Amino acid sequence: MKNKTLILARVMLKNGGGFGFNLKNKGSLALLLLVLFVSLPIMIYGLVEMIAFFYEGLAPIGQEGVLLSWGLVMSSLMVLFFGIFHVVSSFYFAKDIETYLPMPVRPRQIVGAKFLVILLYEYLLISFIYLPIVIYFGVREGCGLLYYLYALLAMALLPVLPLALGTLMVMLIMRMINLTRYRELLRIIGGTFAIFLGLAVSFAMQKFNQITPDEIEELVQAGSNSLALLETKLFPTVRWAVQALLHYQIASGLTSLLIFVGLSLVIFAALLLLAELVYIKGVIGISEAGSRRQRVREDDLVRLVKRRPALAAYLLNEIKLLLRTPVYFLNCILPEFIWPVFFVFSFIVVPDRDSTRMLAALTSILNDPNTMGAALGVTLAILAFIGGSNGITATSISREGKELYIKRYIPVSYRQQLMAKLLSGIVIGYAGVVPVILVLAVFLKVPAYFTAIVMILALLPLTLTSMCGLLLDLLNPKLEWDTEQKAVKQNINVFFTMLFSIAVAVIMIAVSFILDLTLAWALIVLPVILLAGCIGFYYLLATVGVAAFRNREG
Amino acid sequence: MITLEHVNKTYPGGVKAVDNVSLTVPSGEIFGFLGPNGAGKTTAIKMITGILHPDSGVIKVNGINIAENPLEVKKQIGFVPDDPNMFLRLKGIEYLNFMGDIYDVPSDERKARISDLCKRFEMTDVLRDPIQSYSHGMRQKIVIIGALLHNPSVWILDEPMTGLDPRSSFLLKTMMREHVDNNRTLFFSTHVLDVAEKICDRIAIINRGRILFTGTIDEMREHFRKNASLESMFLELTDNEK
Repeated sequence: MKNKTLILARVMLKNGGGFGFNLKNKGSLALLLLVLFVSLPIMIYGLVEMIAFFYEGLAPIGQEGVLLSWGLVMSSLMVLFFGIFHVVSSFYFAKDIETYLPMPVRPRQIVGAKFLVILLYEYLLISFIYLPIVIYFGVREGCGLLYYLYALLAMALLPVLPLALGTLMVMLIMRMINLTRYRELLRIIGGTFAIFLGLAVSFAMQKFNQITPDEIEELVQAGSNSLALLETKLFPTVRWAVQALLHYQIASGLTSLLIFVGLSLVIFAALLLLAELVYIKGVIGISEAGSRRQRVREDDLVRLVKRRPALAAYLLNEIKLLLRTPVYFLNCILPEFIWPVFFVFSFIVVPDRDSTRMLAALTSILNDPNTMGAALGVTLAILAFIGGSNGITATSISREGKELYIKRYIPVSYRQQLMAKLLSGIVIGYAGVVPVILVLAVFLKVPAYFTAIVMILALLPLTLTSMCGLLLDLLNPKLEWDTEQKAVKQNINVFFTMLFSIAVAVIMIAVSFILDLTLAWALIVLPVILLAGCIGFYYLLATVGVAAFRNREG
Repeated sequence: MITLEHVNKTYPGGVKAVDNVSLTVPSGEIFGFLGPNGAGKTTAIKMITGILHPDSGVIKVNGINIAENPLEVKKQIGFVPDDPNMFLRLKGIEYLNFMGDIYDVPSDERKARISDLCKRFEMTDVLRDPIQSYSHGMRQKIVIIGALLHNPSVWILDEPMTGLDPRSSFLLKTMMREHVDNNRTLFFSTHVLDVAEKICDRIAIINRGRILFTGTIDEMREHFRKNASLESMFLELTDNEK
């Protein structure tokens, strides 16, 4: 008999429709090639330069192993950070669960299969950090084939612990929440809570990892990679993986590897055991919606019937869907509002030596007239990045899915519909960055006029990145999905928009630093660049974008 | 009135869904569009409503060419698609307000229409509930109410009876008759032949993208020179095509 977990995982993967890439679509192909041959090499080049820099610093003191442990710990943190969004969406808000519930499969088989599918996506995520570091290390140290085999096995199992940790938290919270009546609302709150908890944990891990300079001194003296294991304190399995890679040539390396494999498998098994106990009770009634059957009288209707202009009605509908669909809320709205919390947490609530020093440095930069031009450039860069990472416009056509045809028969012009979609991204983006600006203004003691300038100018990078997202999604929408999660989580347009926003951020910083702009000049040059970009994209949206919408027959 | 002149549509992959179709749907008559599954009914309807563009041919609604003036045509149509699972995250009243705003229905008229239609379809007491909590039939009813809110002169209904209980089905048929009695246009697709036989003034039968017959049921009987049921004539007609 075939393993049902694997059968389920295969079906889930096939049904997922990949990342929204259709190689027969010319636009799609062009985008893919652009990323592969332009963005990716630049990114890898930057990464290798950075790794080399660290390696050169560490190797002379016999601590090059730190590089490996840093890579593995970073990968684990990334899995915990991003995985928890994925787990919440896939385990508790995906509609496909209802297809599997009536089948003769055990809860642990559903959870196991979903876990495996997420694991595949995590490999893709960590490969950008893990592979360059491990390969660089291997090449520089002249490691043999066995090292690379160990490294591959370590990569396969590395995400298991952090992902299991995230799944565990989510499952327990959801089990508690499903006891109550207002399930859907509480699920969103529970999901939000789980995400914050996950972030707090990964954050705390970094904080507790810090040690005093004296301790470091001692360990450095000891040499021979004594520092390497320091970083791994809070991900117990990582320690063994690092040991295995460092000592792959001797028996203790093999022992470490076996311990690592064994531990990972035990953790996976423990997760499945727990899933058997709590998963079904947490997921049952997933699509139930509360109904009140309230009498509506004539005078109620007077109140309930409200007339709005078509554009406003369309925009409102977009925003309502983003707020009410749990997957959209957790993936598109919530991340926007995490930034200020994150900032307050890392600099103010749990300050340490580094963050206090950094805060002081930032405060002086933001108040010094000589550096304010550069400060504006950096601020706009950050805003571009935040605006480009929410994925609201980058999934706005994809989110329509099979219902896109509705937008084709209603009597609203495509241009106006695109305007409403663009506005939804800008409105929510702006609502997300205002708290960031205010928090920064208060804690960095930014002059009021600078804050006011940033408040106004913030609209430019937000508009630019939202326009880019919308255009990309128009050219290459992911419309074939059966559960909302696939429209936003497995959508390559979000990634592309993020790349674009990084490019915008780099340009903002580069221009303000290279030209050494004063605030007055920065106020002219930077907005002009952003505005030019907006005008260019507006033209593209009004021509190529509208045509793509008109010709997108579903 | 709806007219199609030599309309063609081929899907990517080479399937010819609509093959040189010419059709006139006059006002004042219930016009049924019949055909087996995959015959091209929904494709034709999608082209009339502006969801799909024909590869060639001309489609006019009340004399307006949809290719030239799509928004004007869309405003005149009330369209009920075959799948009522839409706007599930909105409450009933929010969906109706949305449709009212999109079709530019003034407040007073909107209130009166919502009040009247919801009463007739017995939907008033669920207006404040999310559509997600509705049964299939209730979803179908709210979609029908939304589509008729702007009092369109042309109704296009794709399998409108699916999922409706007998009472609502009867009500819809009555409303369809009222609509054409005001000399307006009604075009609806179905594969339930009993329904077509009972309420249609005129039918068109489509199979593999081509119109096999257009006319009244009596004309069809004459065509076949026998007093058979629509079902047997339909089967004979579409079977010959294979």
